[in-house]
Amino acid sequence: MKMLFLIVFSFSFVFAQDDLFDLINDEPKEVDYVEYAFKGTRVANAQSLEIPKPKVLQFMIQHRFGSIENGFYDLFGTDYAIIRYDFSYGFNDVFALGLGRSSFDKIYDIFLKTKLLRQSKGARNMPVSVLLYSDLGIKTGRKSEEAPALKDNFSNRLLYINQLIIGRKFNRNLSLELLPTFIHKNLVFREEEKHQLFSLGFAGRYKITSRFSINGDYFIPIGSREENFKNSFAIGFDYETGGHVFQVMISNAQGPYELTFIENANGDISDSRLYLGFNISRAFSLKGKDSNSW
Amino acid sequence: MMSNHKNILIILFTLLSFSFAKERYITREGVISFFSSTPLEDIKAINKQVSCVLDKGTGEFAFQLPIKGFTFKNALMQEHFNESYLESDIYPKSVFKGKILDWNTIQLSENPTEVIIEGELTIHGIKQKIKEPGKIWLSSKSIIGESNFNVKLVDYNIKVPKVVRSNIAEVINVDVSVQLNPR
Repeated sequence: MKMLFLIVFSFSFVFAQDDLFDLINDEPKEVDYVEYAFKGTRVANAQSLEIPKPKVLQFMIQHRFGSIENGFYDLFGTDYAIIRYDFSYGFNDVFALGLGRSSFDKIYDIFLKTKLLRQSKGARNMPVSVLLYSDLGIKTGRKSEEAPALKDNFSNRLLYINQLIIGRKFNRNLSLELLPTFIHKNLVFREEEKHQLFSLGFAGRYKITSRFSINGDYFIPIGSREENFKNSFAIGFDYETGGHVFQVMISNAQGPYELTFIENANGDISDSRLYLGFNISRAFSLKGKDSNSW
Repeated sequence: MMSNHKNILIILFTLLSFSFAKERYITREGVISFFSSTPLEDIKAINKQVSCVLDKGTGEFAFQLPIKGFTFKNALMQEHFNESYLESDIYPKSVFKGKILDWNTIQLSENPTEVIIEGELTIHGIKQKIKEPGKIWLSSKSIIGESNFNVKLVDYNIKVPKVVRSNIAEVINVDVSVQLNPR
């Protein structure tokens, strides 16, 4: 009898010892979105998988110097600059609208950038993120001297950029993306020049420390281009400080706008016609009193 | 002889049922917030996805919370918090396991009772023994617990870079509040 007592007693003791912690450890699985694939909304030239955070207004300056080929005479091109800046606003986790202006060709552009699919783990496993970047550009230069006979219709000044950004954050350091791109120009000046231009971009980043990463992007055309066409590339780094992301790069394209870097790269490593540039972005939080956060 | 057996059996079953019928109190909607204060900047974040369970029989309890559940007013701070400081992709959860000291002598009532909590707190993958004050009281069917204590970043190997060292305090004040309901 004593035996039985001991057995049952030790048995009950075992039950009493089951881990209290297990009761809260079996939480229901939720969708766990993979975030922060890139530090900025651009990789170097190319669009990244990021959009401005919800209720955040982002101001970005894309500054590109002249070619470095003259060395110290013009301090590696820093005497000259072209610039694009834009404001973009994140309405929620997946949708942003923006407004930009490039000094090159005096192009104003309005754009939307939206996440169609978000990479996730947990309750839903999604291996990639897919974003759409859609941009309407308006050239506002004076009537073209290239084609003085041409009527100055507003529609002649328009161009359209549509791009899918398909990417994946493979681990905390490595993120890669593909960028199928379609650019339509309403007006072309030469017969060989095409209205519709397809290309495919590759871009990625590798994080060296939590605040520093090496980034690069490269575009190849699909279909024929004119003889002097160059595939655009940019390589650079991200440096993150408190409220800024600072990106420095070198590229064979001077213009930081999609049309100008994908379709109008003119530099070459062999004659060191390359362009230094930087992007700097500042985020302004427009979040008011929100019960879910402080 | 027979009645003796019966008695023993009754005792056994009472013991057994006693060990089964545990009074566990639980929540998945607890709140933990923290506050970092420096002359330059005050930083706050709040997490409303805190799970907590208390064994009313023994005074043992446990906490678990997802690090990604902390929301900041400034989204960029939230990114830095997850990416650079807490590394939530590697250490997604923070956990506490411990007990309320002298539980047997504590009479729960509607008035807050000061208690001492002792246990192991895991943040950023590093486990530290802590002993901190708290309060506990009853509110209709619930048990309410609160605690406020300080966490030193170095204890949990949370590194703050020089450029923002004057913006982020070395000691963070943590506030815990849970309303536990019978399971």
